[in-house]
Amino acid sequence: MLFNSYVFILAFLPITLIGYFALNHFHQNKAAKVWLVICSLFFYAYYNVAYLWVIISSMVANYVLSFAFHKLEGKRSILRRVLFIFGLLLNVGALFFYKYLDFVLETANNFFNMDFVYLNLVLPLGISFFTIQQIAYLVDSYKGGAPVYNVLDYALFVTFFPQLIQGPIVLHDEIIPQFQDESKIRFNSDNFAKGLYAFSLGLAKKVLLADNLGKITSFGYSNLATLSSFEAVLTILAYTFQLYFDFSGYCDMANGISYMFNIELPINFNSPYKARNISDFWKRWHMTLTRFLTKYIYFPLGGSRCSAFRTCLNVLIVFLVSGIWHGAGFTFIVWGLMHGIAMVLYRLLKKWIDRVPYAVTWILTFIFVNITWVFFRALTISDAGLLISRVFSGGFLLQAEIVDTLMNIIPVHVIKSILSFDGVLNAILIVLIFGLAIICLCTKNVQERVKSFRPRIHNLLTTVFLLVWCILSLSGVSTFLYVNF
Amino acid sequence: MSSKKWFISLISITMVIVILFGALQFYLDPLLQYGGERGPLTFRKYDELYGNPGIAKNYDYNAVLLGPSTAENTDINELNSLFGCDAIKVTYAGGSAYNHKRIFDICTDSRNRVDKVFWAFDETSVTKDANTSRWPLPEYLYDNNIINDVSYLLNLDVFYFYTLFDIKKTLNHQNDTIMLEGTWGDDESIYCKKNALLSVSYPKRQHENKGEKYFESELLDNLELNILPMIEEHPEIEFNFFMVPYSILYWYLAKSDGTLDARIYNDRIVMGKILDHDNVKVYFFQDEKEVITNLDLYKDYTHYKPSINSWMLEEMKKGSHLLTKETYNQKLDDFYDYLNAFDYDNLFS
Repeated sequence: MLFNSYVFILAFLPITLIGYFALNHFHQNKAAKVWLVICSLFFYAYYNVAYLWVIISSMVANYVLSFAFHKLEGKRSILRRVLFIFGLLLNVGALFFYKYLDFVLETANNFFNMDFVYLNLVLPLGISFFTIQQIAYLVDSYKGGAPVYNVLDYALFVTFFPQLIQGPIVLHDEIIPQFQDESKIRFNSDNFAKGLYAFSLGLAKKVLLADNLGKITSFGYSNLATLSSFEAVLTILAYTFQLYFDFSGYCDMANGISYMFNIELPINFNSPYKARNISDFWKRWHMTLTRFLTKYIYFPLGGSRCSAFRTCLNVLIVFLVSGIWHGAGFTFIVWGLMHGIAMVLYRLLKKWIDRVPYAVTWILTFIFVNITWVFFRALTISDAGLLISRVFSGGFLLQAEIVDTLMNIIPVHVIKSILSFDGVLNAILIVLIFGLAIICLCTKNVQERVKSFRPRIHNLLTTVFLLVWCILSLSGVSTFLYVNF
Repeated sequence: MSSKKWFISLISITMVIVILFGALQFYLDPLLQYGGERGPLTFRKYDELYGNPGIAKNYDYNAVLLGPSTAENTDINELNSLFGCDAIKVTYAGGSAYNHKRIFDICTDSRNRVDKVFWAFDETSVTKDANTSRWPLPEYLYDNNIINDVSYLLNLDVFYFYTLFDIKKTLNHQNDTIMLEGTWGDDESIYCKKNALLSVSYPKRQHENKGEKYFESELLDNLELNILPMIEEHPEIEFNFFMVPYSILYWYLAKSDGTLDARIYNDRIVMGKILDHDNVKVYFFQDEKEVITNLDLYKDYTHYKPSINSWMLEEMKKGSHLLTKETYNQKLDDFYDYLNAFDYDNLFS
């Protein structure tokens, strides 16, 4: 189920909240947790019930393994180690099977003239997220740093629906204690108001900004060969902002919903496009992934406590894993390696780079991030190269198809019907991109707004306005037929 | 303000606005989902993808016109008077057999008894995927599930692009809901040889013949899933297929991209299958040489002027151009030979 859907906003969320707090109100705390797990599994299975067994079996296997680690603590260490390796292979194997096997087969077919038949499996929703959350728990359990939790708390840790599909990647020791905290099981008006506020802002980022930017992006990436310079730059920037507003909007909604349940999730985005260098960027973008990769891959590899060469290699390995985690394809590998190389260069030249004025390093970082997003979004590396080359193709024109797409966006349509000078659409787009840049660079992000939230009439009216606009925009009108051919 | 007051105000104000908005949409019903033309609007903006389901569900009719953009200029009043029926036009520009089957199903599930179907048939409609629409369909308009009507009632785009438009037209005393006459063909100046030739880049690279079974998978799927079920499940309905006359330039393109054999094969297989049924008539206008070689009748390589639509209706009424199980193969053989022998270069000289 999607947060930005009628069924979620008008039915699922209210029913889940009412059920949870009603059961807690009548001191049925265990039943309330069971209710929340059942609702979360329903949320998970809403579009494809077939993969419910994947998450359930993953959950059971990891719980049993961590239980075994505790039982075997201090004795029979070989069996414990074997079980640990088995657990890791089980998690990574499941992820590999569903996410990467077809990619590997395709690569073998292409490079070695093999004839493997593809499985064409549908990726189970959120498998990348719930798998690495459980790997983290497994590692901590093996090292003795995680207790054996109550089975219900563990199930809630894995399935808690706000973070289930797109994160943030939550660690067991930051969320399970909150589920166990009896002071958090009662309805709390302050948290609920904060939650609604965060949810509405996140929803607006997703529905009003990201989804409309997505229309420009889709056009651009479907018409690479014919883009003018203006369209190519627009496509690149639109995707940069789309990805941020989409993903961070989702996390804002996840945080907002969690607040409604009195649960605080870790911050995942901290105004990443304000980053002054690539290292700073990764401290601000998808922060919980960076945390996971640092703690569970970079440190075990030796981190920076080894030779300079080995440290650089460790950094490259971490970003290669990050690229592969993001998707099965060479474009993601290239994307990861580009960031890895940039991080290595920054590490080696830090002394000099940090002396360069902020404005210069910021613009260089922003341009670099934009270029890497091209590889992240393009279907092939040559498509990415083509888009970048179209930036230098010349031309300021907008093709008829993108004009039609833009004219289906109400605010653009309204402005266009008021202003009618030549190039008005180009002007609107330039203002839009600058406006988005200002939102990203000069205003408080949602986390900061929520932290300083006080219930006031002005933020009430703004939130009503955004929430109504979003609800009425959840199902737009899709592409019109080519009536004017 | 307390947090409690804040969130209660937020939820109640939002709900009131959203419910009022939905109620207004329900009352004005711009896409005719609730009982046809009721309420104060005298004008409804017509858009095939969004408008057809409402027309099919809620109008009174006993005949249906299906087809692609080349059928859009058919004058429904003319069709009604010639064939003594009361028809609706539910065409889809560039539509596939899947699109026509979906809207046909809504028609037959409606309160109306459909006696006749007129289907302006072009073989490209069976070269597309048999299970999906070329454009995402607004399913909430195509089904009868009242729960997903929320996507219609709480839809700001529908309100802005349809309801507001209809209100403006109604206030200007305009009265039109369904396009009874042509939809795009009124401007006579667009039909000329120059425009037709401009729609084709010449010379085209000549590709190898792709073989007659090039589209066979889509063709057979479309027959099995879309076309034949319509005919076989409704023996009480008379199906009038009329194969529309694309210009000779269309066939030049087909020959250049190596699909001429496949396109003729598509026609042959479709006709062979549908002519097995007693409730089917096939009218063949594709080979009408005086039409297809007169490029002044076209605005591009397929789209002809509305007078051709009228001419086809009259011919059908006369029973002319009718093919039978015995004659269709020879007709296609002759047409294929004609297309192969045609001097296309001469068109561009």
